[in-house]
Amino acid sequence: MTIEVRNIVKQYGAFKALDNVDLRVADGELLALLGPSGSGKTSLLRIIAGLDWPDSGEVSFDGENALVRGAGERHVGFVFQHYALFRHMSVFENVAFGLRVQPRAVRKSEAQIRARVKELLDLVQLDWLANRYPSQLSGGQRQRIALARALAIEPRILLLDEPFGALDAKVRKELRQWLRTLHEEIHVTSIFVTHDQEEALEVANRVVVMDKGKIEQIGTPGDVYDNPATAFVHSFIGESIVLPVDISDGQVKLGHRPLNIDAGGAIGPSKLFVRRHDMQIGPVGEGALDGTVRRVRTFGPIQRADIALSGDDTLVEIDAPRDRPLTTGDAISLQPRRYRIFAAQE
Amino acid sequence: MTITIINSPVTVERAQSVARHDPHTEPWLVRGIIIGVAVTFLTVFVVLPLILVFSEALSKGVGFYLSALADSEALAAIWLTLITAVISVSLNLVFGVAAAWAVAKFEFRGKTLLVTLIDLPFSVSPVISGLVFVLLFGAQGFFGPWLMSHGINILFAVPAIVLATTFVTFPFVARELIPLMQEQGSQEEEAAISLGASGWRTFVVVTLPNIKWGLLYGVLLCNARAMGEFGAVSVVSGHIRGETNTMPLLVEILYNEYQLVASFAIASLLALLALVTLIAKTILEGQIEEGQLPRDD
Amino acid sequence: MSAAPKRSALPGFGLSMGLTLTWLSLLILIPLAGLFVKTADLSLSQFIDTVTSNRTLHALRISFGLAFAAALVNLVAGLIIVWALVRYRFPGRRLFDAIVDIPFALPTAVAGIALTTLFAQNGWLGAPLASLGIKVAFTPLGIFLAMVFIGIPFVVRTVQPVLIDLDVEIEEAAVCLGASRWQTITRVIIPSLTPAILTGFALAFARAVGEYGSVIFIAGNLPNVSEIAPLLIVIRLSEFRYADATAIAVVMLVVSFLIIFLLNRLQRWAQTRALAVS
Repeated sequence: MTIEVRNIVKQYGAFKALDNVDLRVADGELLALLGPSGSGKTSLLRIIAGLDWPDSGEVSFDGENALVRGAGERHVGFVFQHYALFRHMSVFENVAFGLRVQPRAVRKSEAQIRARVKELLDLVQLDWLANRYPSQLSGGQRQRIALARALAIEPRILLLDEPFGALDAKVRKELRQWLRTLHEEIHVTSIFVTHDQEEALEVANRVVVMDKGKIEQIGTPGDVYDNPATAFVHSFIGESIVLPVDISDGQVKLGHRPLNIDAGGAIGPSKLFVRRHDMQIGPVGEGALDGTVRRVRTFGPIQRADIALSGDDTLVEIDAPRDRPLTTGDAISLQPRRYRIFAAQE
Repeated sequence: MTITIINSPVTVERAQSVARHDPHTEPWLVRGIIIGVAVTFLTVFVVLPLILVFSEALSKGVGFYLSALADSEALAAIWLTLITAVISVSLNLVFGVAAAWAVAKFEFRGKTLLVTLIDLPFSVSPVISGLVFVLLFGAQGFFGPWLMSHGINILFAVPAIVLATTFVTFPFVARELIPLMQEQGSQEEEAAISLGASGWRTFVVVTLPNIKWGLLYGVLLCNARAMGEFGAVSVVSGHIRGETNTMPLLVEILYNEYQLVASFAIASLLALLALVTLIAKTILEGQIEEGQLPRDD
Repeated sequence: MSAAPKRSALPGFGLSMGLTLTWLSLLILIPLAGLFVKTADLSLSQFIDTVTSNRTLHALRISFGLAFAAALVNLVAGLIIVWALVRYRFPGRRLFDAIVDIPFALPTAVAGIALTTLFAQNGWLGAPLASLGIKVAFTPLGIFLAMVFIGIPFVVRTVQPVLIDLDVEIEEAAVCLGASRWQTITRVIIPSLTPAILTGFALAFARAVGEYGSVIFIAGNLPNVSEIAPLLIVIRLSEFRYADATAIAVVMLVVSFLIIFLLNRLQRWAQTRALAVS
């Protein structure tokens, strides 16, 4: 099932939750909506599910207008942030719910329902919990039951709102892996919302980065990390060193010091973004910037150093391989291997 | 629901507005019926009787109303009601704070049982609440003969009225304070103690400011019930005119003597008390909510 | 019950606990125990004769039967009122919300004379009903209506906070799974509210069984027809038949205790379930 979202606008009072959003999701994709809170990602997910309606714009599934259908008629599986399991029903009844509420004409027989629920519980590897109540499950188990329940109605689309948000770090990691495997198995078009970049980059085929109701960039995990389209994406994903620079006559200046790097067409007050590990260390005078090492700590294959830049003592944090050990007090130079310059906002 | 989409913008528009209705609510017709039933039910059962009290009380004019209230029997009943309320509310205030402190700040076995026992008067018929004191202090009661031989009057006198009222209003203050203090926990008190404050000072300076609105609310409810109690007081009062009649008892006597306007006049004072209590309750609930620490999400 | 507490930094356990237990024993426990001691004045067969006499049985049946019916009405009406107050916005909503407490706050004698006058044959509502051939005041129907009146706040006030706190997500989950609005309400929302509904029902029932002030005016008080059990206690007392009065009271008390016991069970049951998802 393909999903197409066109020109969606959603406003809550003066707050614009979604500002003219366009999005195409291909059949069988596993897409992440990534952004900080208030970026509109959950609003978009709820509009696709039919839990909210846009002020204007279109949503279509396989070319068919979805907005004329209510949430119950869209055949969308929705996994809620807090799972929303029915606490008065056993795990079995929770999963069976979607099958039991179908109109009598199409409802499966009791035996078929039992078989289907069993199959789903097997799929999420929790068949031994069928008779428990939600209050007796761990967070990770609840999450998987919520997923099984959503899959029971054989949804054409699977939507997950912060699926791992309420879990502790270890369980999160396990479930990420598991969700990927599960998606490869059932291959239903899926969208999940997250504010955690690691989660988005690790699980999704494609990542949609959102901020302030707008889509900043759509791309593969590699794309959004290596080629951030905007300053927001660069600072939101991965760790970056950000330096205020000024560009005139094609020359990039930090304060009054020229940096001898290519401005790439930017003009005026701008921001220079460099990944921590993209700073090349060299002898004084041989890089774009000079500085003094203030503090070094090493973990694993890298050493992380605080460097005070000459001139104004701005501190930047860099990651360097351990082949050339740094010590406090060393005078060094820094040369960005890869960098991006974006016009400064405001 | 199946929707056929015809290539006409009007139809699509209508189909959209049908589906667009919030999945969290009912169609407007159902909503209207539910609101209608709720409002009608409350109007018939609650608003009309209340209006009726005031309309009957004033049916012969303000002058008659005021003279009914200024009647010496009425004044005696009002006085007795006030005295009774002051005594039983003060007693239950002290008890309620002590019980709430014990229950909310300490862990001990039998706590659930204690809370159940505190609530007991709520589930006892008011008539039985009166009856137990008749059995204790009546002529055929356990202490009756001894009291009589010593010339002490408890039953059919003010002491029994106060006792019965205190019995009936026993849970109000404690019930209001226990959940409030449990929710607030003991951290602030523990901080004060660790800073060297005495127990009493901790209570006055730390606990009391935190519970003041809940305490006031409990006292108000307790007072409203104390002034309005009928069944229990009726059993122990003896209905001696001008001496052991509280306001609710006088309402009954006047009503049974077909002095309807006078009866409703006294009743209107009690109804007014109920209304003031409810208004204060609404205000206090706002205060209590404000006093709570913001929950972090 | 007063086993020493686990160590606590706070002082005052002895004082507050001592005060509580003394006061509780003197005012509540000893007087109530006296009630049971007094029934010992009757032999077992006398006791059984008293509580199974025709008039007593009728009174008990009227009190318990009508209280049960009234609590049922309170349950249904209470749910409708709660739903309207919590889920809808309409003019006067806050006012009606406040009004729900009036039956609780209004002295029972005042409610009694007001309801009687309202439903008397020449009353505001009694007159139109009489023209339909329905007589309310001084009949069991009057008792029933008075019991409905005093029971209103209980279901509303126990269910209201639970409905307010109910997570919208579970309704949305039901909708996404294809449930109709009606299925969502009957299979998801009402079951979630059931413990609170039952608690409210039991409270309303217990209150109506023991109710005296608001009922006796409208009841008519005809023995075997419209005489409630609490009134029969008062009548026996005025006849100085203390033991008889006590026997009826004991029956009512025991039933009330059973209700409290059930209530506690219910709340515990509700709590174990409410531990879920959050």
